[in-house]
Amino acid sequence: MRSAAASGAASIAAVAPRLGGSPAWRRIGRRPPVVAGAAILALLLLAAALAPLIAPHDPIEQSLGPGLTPPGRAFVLGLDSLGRDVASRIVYGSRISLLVGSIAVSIALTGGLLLGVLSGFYRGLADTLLMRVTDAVFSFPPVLLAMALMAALGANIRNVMIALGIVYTPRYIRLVRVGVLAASEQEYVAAARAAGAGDGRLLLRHVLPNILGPVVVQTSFSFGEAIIAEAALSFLGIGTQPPTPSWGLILSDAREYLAQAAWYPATVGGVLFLVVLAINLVGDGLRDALDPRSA
Amino acid sequence: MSAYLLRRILQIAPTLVLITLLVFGLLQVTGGDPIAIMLGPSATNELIEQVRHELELDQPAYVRYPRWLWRVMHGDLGKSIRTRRPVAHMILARVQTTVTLAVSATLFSVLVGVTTGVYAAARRGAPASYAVGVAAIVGASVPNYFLALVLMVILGVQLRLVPIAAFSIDVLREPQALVNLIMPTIALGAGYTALLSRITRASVLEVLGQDYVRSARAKGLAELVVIGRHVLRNALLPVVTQVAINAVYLLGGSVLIETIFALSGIGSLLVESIIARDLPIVQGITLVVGLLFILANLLTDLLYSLLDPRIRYA
Repeated sequence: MRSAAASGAASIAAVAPRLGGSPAWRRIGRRPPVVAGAAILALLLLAAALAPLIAPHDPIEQSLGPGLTPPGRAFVLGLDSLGRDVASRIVYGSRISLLVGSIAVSIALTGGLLLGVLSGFYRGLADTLLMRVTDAVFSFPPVLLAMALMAALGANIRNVMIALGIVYTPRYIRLVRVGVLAASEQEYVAAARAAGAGDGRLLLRHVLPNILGPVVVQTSFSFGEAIIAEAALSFLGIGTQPPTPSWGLILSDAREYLAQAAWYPATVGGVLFLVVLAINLVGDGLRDALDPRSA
Repeated sequence: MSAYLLRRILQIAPTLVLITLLVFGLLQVTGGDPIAIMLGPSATNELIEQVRHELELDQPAYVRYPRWLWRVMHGDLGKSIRTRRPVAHMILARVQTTVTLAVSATLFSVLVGVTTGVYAAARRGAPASYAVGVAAIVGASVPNYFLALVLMVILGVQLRLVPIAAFSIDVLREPQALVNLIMPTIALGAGYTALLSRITRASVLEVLGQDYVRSARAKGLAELVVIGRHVLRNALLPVVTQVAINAVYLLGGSVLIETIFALSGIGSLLVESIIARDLPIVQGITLVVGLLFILANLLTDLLYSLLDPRIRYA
């Protein structure tokens, strides 16, 4: 197990220097699925940033017209049961998804980097203990663990970010630890140490740049997972609370009208699916470029 | 073999302890007084104190943990705050639905995922193989709760093939209920199917490049025999051995699927309990799932070491 992890990490260290303007990187940039994914994500970012400008209506203003008006000229994606503009709600909802996704992943990334370095670079008791803790966390399906944490913390958007951040941290700990372990054994690190470099300089200049690739790849996939998870928790009523237009809440409302208005769940669910698909396409591309061995 | 088993069990022990600590800790991290939160604003002080005493929350954590652990080891997961019934009974009453779903989704995923994966590898470059690849990334990206709604609209509302929700999936007692399993099975299994298809394809492609496959072909064996006897046996080892672990992971998705289709399983019990902030049930379910995972992991390792003796001596 350990030897497999070490050889995997060696490959990580061997590939990582290609990050940047390398041939592999440019090749990936020309692949249509990756370009399509990146374009969808760019649109999403734009929509979130410019929500007040591009949303045709206030996302929580009711009675803009008769409830469940299907998509048409007046309302591009129709009106929900309370007469709210679905398009505006989806545009504002993108802010919630991006916010929860980025904060949750940032929490996991920060925690994982610190603890992973502690574990892989300094070893000892902390390493043993942290590995057992990550084992314990990996024993639960991620969504289920997030739910249990939400039960304890209470249902609101802040706790969604905290719960998902905690659930995703162990994967970064593992990833960083393995990378740091492998990089520490490289000759150039020994050389830098012999030349008098301190721990901080060793880590920042010689060890961490080598694990950047796999961390970037993990971040893209975790980000997509966090968006799905936030919508899932909100869908079940244990995440973001109304009237905040979370995609999960909109889908949960739409679910009540499957027979009368099938277009309604299709709009918001379709957007959610497209965004996650885009993230996965870009993630696959990043993995091929930065971390080919794990593909 | 028994030495290997003993070593694995010793390795598991610290993880087990940490899992119980994690689950026990759920009650400690509530913001504010957990009892007042659970019982809601209408609870009298008397009731709050009574429940606090029942849950032993009037004692320090280091006193409660060993006692709680002792009871858990004897099958006592505490009492529900909402229904005042034993948590273990409430979970057991719902087990059948969830197990049926998990087994059915696992069977579906293995069948479809492995078949399409092998096909895509054997017909590499063909349009159908490309289609399998596209389907795999679509299947991996569609949230299972959205897929469930899509299936409901198409199969339930438009085509009227199956009832939309609140149906029986007790297939052991009513074989005709098998059709009711179609939607929940696909919705729950799609993601895992996609994953299996991709893993199988990669695994088969790797084995196809081995020398012994070339030898088998050189002997003049039919392609079907080469794939069936020489390739699959080696390529599917990592796929098949992971089945138990993935079945436990499916329980995460089961929470959403049970809720959407109004099936009364462990997943929907969890959601009801979270909304009611009935933490003893949440603790009980989390603990059971964690233990199931450890068990699945152990079984996987043992199965693997039986099939591939190199593991035992590694």
